[in-house]
Amino acid sequence: MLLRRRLLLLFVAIVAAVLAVGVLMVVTLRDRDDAQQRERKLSVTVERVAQLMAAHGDQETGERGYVLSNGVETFLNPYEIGRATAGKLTAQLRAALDRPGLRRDLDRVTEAVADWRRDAAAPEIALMRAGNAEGAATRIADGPGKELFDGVRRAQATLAQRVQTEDLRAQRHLDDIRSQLTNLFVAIAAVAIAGAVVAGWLIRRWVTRPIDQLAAEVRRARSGALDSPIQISGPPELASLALDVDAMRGYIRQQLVESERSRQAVEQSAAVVLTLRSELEPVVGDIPDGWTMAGRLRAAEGVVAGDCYDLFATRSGEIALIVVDIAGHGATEGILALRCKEMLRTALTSGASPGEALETTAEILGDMGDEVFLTAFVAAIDTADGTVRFANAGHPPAYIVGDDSVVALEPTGPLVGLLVPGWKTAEATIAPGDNLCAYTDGLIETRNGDNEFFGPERLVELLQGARCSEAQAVVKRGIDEVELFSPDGLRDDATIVVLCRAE
Amino acid sequence: MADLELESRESDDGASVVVRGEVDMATAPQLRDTLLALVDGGANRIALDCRGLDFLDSSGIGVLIAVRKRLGDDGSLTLEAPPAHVRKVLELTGVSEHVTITS
Repeated sequence: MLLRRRLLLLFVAIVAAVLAVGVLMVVTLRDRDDAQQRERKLSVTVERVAQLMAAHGDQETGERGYVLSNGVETFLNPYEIGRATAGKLTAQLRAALDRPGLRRDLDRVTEAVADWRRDAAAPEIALMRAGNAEGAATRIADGPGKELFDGVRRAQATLAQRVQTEDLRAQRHLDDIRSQLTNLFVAIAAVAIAGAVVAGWLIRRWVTRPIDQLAAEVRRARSGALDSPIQISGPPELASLALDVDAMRGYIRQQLVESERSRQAVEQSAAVVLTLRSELEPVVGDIPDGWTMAGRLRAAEGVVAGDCYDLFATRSGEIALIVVDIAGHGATEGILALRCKEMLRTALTSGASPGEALETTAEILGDMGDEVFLTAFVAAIDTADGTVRFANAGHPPAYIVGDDSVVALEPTGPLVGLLVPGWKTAEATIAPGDNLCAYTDGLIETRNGDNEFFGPERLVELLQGARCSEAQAVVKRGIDEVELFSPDGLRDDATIVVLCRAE
Repeated sequence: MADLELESRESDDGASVVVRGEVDMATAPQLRDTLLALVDGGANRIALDCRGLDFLDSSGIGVLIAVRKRLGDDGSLTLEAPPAHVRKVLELTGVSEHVTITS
């Protein structure tokens, strides 16, 4: 059964019990009030019967006193007063007595009194008033008065006894009701305690225990035990909640499995990435005396750059320098950069001119995709006389910085990836003491907080200031200055390669 | 933060786009989406008003190359009045050979 329905039933049962107890209480209290009232009335009645008896006594005493005192009128006062009092009391009693039997008893008393007055008291008083004192006295001594009044006494005694019995009965009834009331209170208390216990037990069984169970299961799941299903025994609502929680557990578990798979995949590709990166680093061969060379690549994001460079000795006395910038970053671009570098290297090693090397590479790469292209600076330097043969495929110009001269090695053809190929090989010279610097656009397009570019001018200035230094020191200074210029970090890969000819 | 504003108007078989701001790695996709949508919509001649173009990096070059390739031999891509430094980039990379540049 639904928890909602169970709780509703429990609530209805409690309300019904409270109503029943309330009705029982009201009824019993009213009974008690009635019994109390009746008992009080009967007590008063007992009292009045006693007063009635006294009033009759007074009448008899007064009447006898009047006759025996030879007609002293004041003796008749108690007789008259008692008569009036008796009449009043009789009327009150008649109204108060609620049982026909008692009323009949009262009637008998009244009749007996009437008989006595008619046949004894009234004739005796009449004889006395008529002056026949002797006759009156004789009638008192021998007449029916004594017997008649004994009749009054008997009737009175019966009435008094009956009324007292009734009063006692009423008292007992009241006592009964009172003890009944006490029992009722005890019973209510007991039922209330039992009800509370039962309701508590039911709520614990229906609500608290399933929730505790669910909480324990959820805690278990939270601590990582996601494999075993979450289930609880309880009312349908909580069971369905548990089902939902279990579905969530399943979902989390699935996500966890998937993310674990992705993590493994990333770990695997990270290994590839690290390998790639080390492959992108240059292999510097034997460097002829009088020359130093160095290069550095600062990747913008991740560990794989779209830039790469290479510096190596091709044949005796010749150094090759390659700087490639693929549009974009990431593993795909990194692989493309690596392929490109290898192709250029192979071509240069087999004796091709820089322009020819670019032609061959572009031919093999073909159309790499709508937006995929690369720029490259390729140079072969004769270390004997400083002659530089170079080809520039849409790449920012490399600089040969001398004492008071700056030669820009401008593009000799378009970037690689456009439809039309064609790269010439041009020549320049590195005089003793001069530097050759090739770089990628990420270096000069670095911006500072004011959105200013680092620009080629700053680079040239730096190179002029670093004339006749070791290549390693120039590269370090170049990277340091760029990083200092752009405290927020580089947005693009930045590469700088420097070749210095000693004086 | 570099911002890019684009405002395009289409005519019978062409479209003109006013390009203001900077085209870099962050904004290049915006330019690409706008221009390629025009190409897909049938525009054959596209003219870019480059008077307000402050900066064009290799990502932007990539977009221009992609659009140029999509337009094919019949179409034309014109860059109107690019600033000197942008023009220099276009010339350096050889892209200037494949698009029309007006001053």
